[in-house]
Amino acid sequence: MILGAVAALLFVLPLIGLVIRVPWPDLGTYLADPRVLDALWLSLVCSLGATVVCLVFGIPLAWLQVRVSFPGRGLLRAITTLPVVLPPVVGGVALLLVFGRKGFVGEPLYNLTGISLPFTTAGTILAEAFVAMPFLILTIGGALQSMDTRLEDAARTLSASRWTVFWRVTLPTIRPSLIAGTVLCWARALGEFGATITFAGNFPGRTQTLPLAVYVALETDTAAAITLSMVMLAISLGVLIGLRRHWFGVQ
Amino acid sequence: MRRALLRWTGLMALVVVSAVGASGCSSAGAGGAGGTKVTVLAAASLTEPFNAIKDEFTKQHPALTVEVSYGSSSALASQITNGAEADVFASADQANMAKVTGGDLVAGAVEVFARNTMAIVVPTGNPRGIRELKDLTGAGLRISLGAPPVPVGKAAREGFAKAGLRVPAATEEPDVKAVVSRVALGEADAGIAWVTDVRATKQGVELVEIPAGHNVVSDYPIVRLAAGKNGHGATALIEFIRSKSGQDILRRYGFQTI
Amino acid sequence: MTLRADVKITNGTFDLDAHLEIEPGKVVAIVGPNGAGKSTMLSALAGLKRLRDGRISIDDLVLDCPSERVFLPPERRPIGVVFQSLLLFPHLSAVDNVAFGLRCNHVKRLPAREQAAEWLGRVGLSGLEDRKPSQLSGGQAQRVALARALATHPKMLLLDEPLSALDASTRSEVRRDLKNGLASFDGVQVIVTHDPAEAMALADHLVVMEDGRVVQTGTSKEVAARPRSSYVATFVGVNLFAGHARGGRVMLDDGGVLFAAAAADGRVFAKVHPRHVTVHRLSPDGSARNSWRGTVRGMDDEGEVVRVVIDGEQSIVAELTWSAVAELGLATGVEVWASAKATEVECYPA
Repeated sequence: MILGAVAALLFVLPLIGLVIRVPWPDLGTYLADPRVLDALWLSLVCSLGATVVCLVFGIPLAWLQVRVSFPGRGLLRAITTLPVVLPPVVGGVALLLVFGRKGFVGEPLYNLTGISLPFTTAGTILAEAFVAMPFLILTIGGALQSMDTRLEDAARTLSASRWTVFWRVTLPTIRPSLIAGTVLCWARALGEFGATITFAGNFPGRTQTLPLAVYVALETDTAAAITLSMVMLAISLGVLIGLRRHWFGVQ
Repeated sequence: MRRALLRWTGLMALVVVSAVGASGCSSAGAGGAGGTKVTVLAAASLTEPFNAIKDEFTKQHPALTVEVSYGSSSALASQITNGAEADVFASADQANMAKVTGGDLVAGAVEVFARNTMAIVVPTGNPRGIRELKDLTGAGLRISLGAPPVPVGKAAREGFAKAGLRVPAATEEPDVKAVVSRVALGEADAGIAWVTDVRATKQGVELVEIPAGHNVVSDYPIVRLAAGKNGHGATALIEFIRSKSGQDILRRYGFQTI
Repeated sequence: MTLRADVKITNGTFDLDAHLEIEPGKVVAIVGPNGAGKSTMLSALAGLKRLRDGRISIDDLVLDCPSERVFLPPERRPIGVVFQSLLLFPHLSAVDNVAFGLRCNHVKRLPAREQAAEWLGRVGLSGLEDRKPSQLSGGQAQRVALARALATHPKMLLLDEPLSALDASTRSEVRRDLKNGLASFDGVQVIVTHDPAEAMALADHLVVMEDGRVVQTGTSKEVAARPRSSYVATFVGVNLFAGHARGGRVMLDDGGVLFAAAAADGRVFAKVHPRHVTVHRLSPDGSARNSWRGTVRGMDDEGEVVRVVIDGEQSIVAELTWSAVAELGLATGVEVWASAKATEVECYPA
C-alpha cells in the first residue's frame, strides 16, 4: 500500500508542481494570445486527424496481425510495436529518411507531385500517427485475440459477408477495447513532441502543436510554458476522465 | 541531426550531473580548500572549443580536473537559478546571462570572452546559388530559421530588418543545431545559423558569409558562480580562456575573439 | 430437398469418414460420445470446415466438393444454425438478433424488424423484443437462437447440442418447445448431441457415430432395440457383445464364448438384457449355459430395481430386486457368479 502511495505521488507531485507555478492572474492574457490559440487548435486538429488515420489503417492492420497467418507475422508485430519503445526523435529521423525531400519515398513523391510532407500539417499528422498507432494496434489486437470468434462464425451462418461480420459483430464485440485504444492513441498523439518536431518542424499555425509551443516557450518564458502545459493537461485529463467512466461502464 | 541528438543527451546528462554533483560536492569540499574539480556549465555551441580548452588547461594545471556540461543557455540559466552547484557559467548570449546576474548567484564580474557571427548555411555545393540575404526571398525556397525567442532566431530577424527584407520561414527550430541539420538533411534549402555551428557540422553543409552591415554579433559572456566550491580553479579557468592560448583555440573553431 | 453428405476430413490423427442422407421434414440426430466427430460433421455441413474429400449437396446445390473445386462459404449456404452456447450477439436486442440474418439477406430495416418480431411471437417471446441476451433466461435465449436460425427460411437447420447450455430444471420444458418448433419446419433438420436421451426425444431418426465413423442408423426404436455400439448399449442399458457365431456359439472378439440359442452363423452382435442375468454367490450348476465369475464393481439404484455392475472376464450388468440384493448380501467388492440362459441371448448380424 505504501509502495502504491509512493507511485501515486510520483504522478501527483509533478502535477502539483505545475499547478502552483501557473501565473493565475495572467492566465487570461496568456490564453488569449493568438499563438497559443493557434497551437491549441492545431493540436486538436492534428491529434484528431492522426487518430482518424490510425483507426482507418490501424484496425485493419491489427486484424491482419491477429486473424491472418502469414510468414513474418511475428516480425511485423514487433516492428509495428517499435514506436512504443523507440525514442520519438529517432522515429522522426526515420520518417525524414523515408518521406523527407531526400527520402526514398519522399523524393520521387516530390519530383512527381511537388508534395513534400515535412513542414506541413499533413507531416505533423503523419508523425503523430506513426507514434500513436501502436497503442491502438496493441489494444485492438489484444481484444481481437481474446474475443470469441465463434460469434463471427454464427454471423456467417446468417449470411453475413466478411465485411458485415467485421462491422456488425467484430467491432461491436471489442467496443470497450476500441474506445480505450482510440483514447490512448489520441492522447499519445496530442502529447507527441519528438517525432513531430524532428519530422515536421516547428512553425506556428502550421506544424507548431502545443507540446512544441511549450518547448519553444521554455527557452524564454517559463511562465508561458507552464500555462501552455496546464492547458494541455486540463484538456487531456478532462477527456480521459470522461471516457474512462464511459469505458469502464461498458466493461 | 546527430548533433541535435547529442544535444538531447547533453541535456539529460546535465540533469543527472547536477543531481550527482549536488550530493558529491560536499565530500569533495571536505578534502580541502577549493578541491580539484572545476564544474562548468557551457552553451552547447561551445562544445568543441571547450573540450579542447579543457584538455589544454588540465595540461597546464595537472592538479585540476574540469567537468563541462553543455546545454542550451536558457536551460543552463534555469539550472543555476534552481540551485545547481557549478563553478563557471559560459552563456551564448547576454540575455540568459542576465537571468543569473541579478541576485547573489554570481561571484565576480561578467566578462565577454568570444563573439559569434551569423552566416547563411546552405547544402554543400550551394545548389540554389545563394550569395546574399536577399537571395533567401526567392520563390519556392524553404528556409530554416531559429524560433523568434531563440537567440539565433532573434538575430536572424534583426539581420533581415537591417537588410530591409521579409524572409518567410518554413520552420522555426528550437535551437541552432536543428536549423543546420535541416539544411544538412536537404529538407531546407538554406538557413541562418551561427558561423561556429556551421563549421562544426562535419557533413553536407557550407556557409555563405553575411556582410558586417547586415550581420548580428552575439557576445559570449562568462562568469564565476557563487555556488561553486572551487573559486580558485574557476578563476584560473576563466583567466585561461581569456588568455592568448584560450583565444587561439576559440578562433580555431570559428569564434571571433576579443 | 434432400441432404446428401459424404464427409471426409482428416484433422491431425483424427479421421472422419461418414455418409449421411437425410430427407426433409424429418429430424435426424447425430449422436455419439465426445470425440466421435459429430461437431466436425456439423462444421462441415455449415461450411465452417472444408472437406478433404467427398461431397455435400442439398438437392442440386453442391455445398462442398473438393474434386469439383466447389466450396460455398457459410454465408452462401441456405442454412440456419443453433450453436451449442447459442452465440447470440450480446450487443443486439432479441429482435435485432433475429433480424440480423434478414438484414444480411437484404431485407430493409423495418420489414426485417417486423418479421423478426413475428418470429419472436411464434416462439412465444412477444414483449421481450428489446431485451439484450444477458437479460434473457436460458430457455428464452434458446428460443431466440432458434428464431434467429429459422428467420432466414433455410433449407437446412443445424442444431449443435441445443439443450446443453440449459440447467436440468428448464431442460425438459425447452425440449418440448424445441420439438414443437422443429415440427413446423419442413427443411432438413440435423441435431448433434452426445446425449442419447435428447436424441431420442427430439429426433425421428438417429445416426450413431463413433471414432469418425457412422456405426448405426435407424429410428430411435430400431436403434434402441438392436444397439450396434457399446455407447448406445450402455445408454439403453443392455449388455452387448460382438463376435463370430457358429453353431449356437459366439466366439467373442475379446475372448470367451457365449452360448446363444438362435444365432445365425457369421459376425453378430449378442444382446443380453440385465433382467435376464442372474447372480449367485457360488458357482451355479443350473440350466444356464452362460456363467461368468466376477466382482461387484458398483450398484445403481434404479428405484424398483438395482443395476449391479460385475467386472470379470466380461463386464456384465444385472438387474436385481432389492430383496435379492439383500438376500445375497451384495456389496461392492463381493465375489459373485453371473449367469444367463442361452435363450435369453439375442443375436443379430453385425
